Amino acid sequence: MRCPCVLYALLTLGFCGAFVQAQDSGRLLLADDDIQEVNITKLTSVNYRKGKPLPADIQNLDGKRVRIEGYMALGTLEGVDSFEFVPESCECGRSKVQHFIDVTIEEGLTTFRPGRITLEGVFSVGEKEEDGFVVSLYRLTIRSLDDEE
Amino acid sequence: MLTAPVLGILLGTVAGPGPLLPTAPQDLEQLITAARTGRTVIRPQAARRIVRLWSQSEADEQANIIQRLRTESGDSPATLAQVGPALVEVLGAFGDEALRGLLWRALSDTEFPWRPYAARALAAHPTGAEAPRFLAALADPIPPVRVAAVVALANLDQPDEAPAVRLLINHKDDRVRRAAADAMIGWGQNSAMWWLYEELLREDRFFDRPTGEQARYQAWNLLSPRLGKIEDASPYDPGLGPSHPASAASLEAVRARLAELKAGERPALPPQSRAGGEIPTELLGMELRSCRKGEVFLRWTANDLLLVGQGNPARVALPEGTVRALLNATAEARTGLADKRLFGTPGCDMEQFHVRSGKAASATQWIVSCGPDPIPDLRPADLNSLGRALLAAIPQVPADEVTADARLAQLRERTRAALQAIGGELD
Repeated sequence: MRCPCVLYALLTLGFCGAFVQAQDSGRLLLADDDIQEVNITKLTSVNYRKGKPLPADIQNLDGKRVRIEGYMALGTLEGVDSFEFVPESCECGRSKVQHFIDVTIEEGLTTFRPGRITLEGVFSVGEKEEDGFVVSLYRLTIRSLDDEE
Repeated sequence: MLTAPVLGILLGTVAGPGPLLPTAPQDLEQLITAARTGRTVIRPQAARRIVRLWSQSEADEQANIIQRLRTESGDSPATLAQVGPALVEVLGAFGDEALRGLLWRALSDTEFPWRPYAARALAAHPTGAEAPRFLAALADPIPPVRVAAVVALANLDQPDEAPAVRLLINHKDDRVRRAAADAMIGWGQNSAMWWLYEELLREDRFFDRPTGEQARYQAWNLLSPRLGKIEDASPYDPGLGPSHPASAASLEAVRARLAELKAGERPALPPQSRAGGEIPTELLGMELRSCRKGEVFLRWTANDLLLVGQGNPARVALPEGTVRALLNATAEARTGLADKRLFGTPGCDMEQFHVRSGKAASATQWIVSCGPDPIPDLRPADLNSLGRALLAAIPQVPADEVTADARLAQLRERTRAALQAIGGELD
């Protein structure tokens, strides 16, 4: 059951111009007005060093719904549920962890698209480690690639 | 390939933030394997850990690590190519003459697939005796190698070489221009700040790619630390173009700061260094990036111009109707490609064809790509047809125009060479 106070807060926000949309998962999210435009070049231009805090405005994107333009990395496999999202289709020499967004698709699988696309989803920021290596700094969960523009 | 749990156990002693313990050779083996064949994102990290492992080891262990890397790298550029770019990029850090010698041989081999990585490996730890070789590399055909050579001379802190670096400040490639400007500023020549400032004024795109915005971010990353805190205006945001209302005051504040830093009068820059104006609608394009043969960026516009280069491109006027006829002539080939958009395997060499069927249409791209080993007949027949038509549409540029803008020199020949190096023969 949804928390009444959350519902109240969201409805209050609705008076300010946003509207409330129920999601299949049972979560409530503000649609459209609530989505933040994020610049992939800004994300990938940070001077990152392991353990060094990211700029506050980037950290504040954690958990937010965002809209980002960019490219599927050239090495994207077909028929999988994740891919790297990059600022340029040619990413030669840019394999560092701050140079891509790790995208997870909730419904459906990848089909490589070479052009610039726009993704919407929930953003996650911070070092994610596996076996002692940082494997991603930015993550985005999208519903489906069919939603991309 | 390592399984994740095994790698985790074996790397447990070297993964944490604390100092590394002297490690057993097995750990070095795991790091080498991870740097060569691990997930792309961990390869550079594994390679850097080998450097850290070496730097924190005793002398005899250091010698063992170097010997192991020599064995891994072999004795020729061909064997070095097999270790992959991540390891190549750190091999200059061990202060080992044999490894550096191999890197220099690889750099001078135009068929070596990881030349930019070899150049960066050498540039990160240059020696004074290598200065003449870095000076020669300033003229390399590949922009990333030129950038590395500039960085090396800056790292050597040899202001005597400033005139050679300054020659690159108006290079056709914006990465080279920015590197040259940054080195010049490091040597106290603040007038070079104006070249970075000019990059902040860019709003250009290459089809849908916001090349101007990318340039603004990169230039600002170099310029902003030199400026210090600007109190008079809200901070400049490279994500906003120069025409955005919020940019006017912040750019004015940057100019005022340049005056305080004695950058001098704002210079008149040549076309390739200027931010440039509006680009007509692009209908056809070819983007060639070869680590062996260099880069070519061409666009054919709806008003019959051939644009050469990115940023503020050189413009070649074509006979009226040329581009519409070219679009019609290539329609069949484009239809034949159906929905397939990528040919080959992801790698450093890439050719990308862009086609927009009308002014209001979005562009379609086809990519041909290959890694360290050339793939025969990589480009499909229909893309060969498209490539041939575009190549034939490159006019012979009059000598006086070439003299005025070096980007137009040997344009068709350079384009043909890059196409052959990536996707193979067009015929």
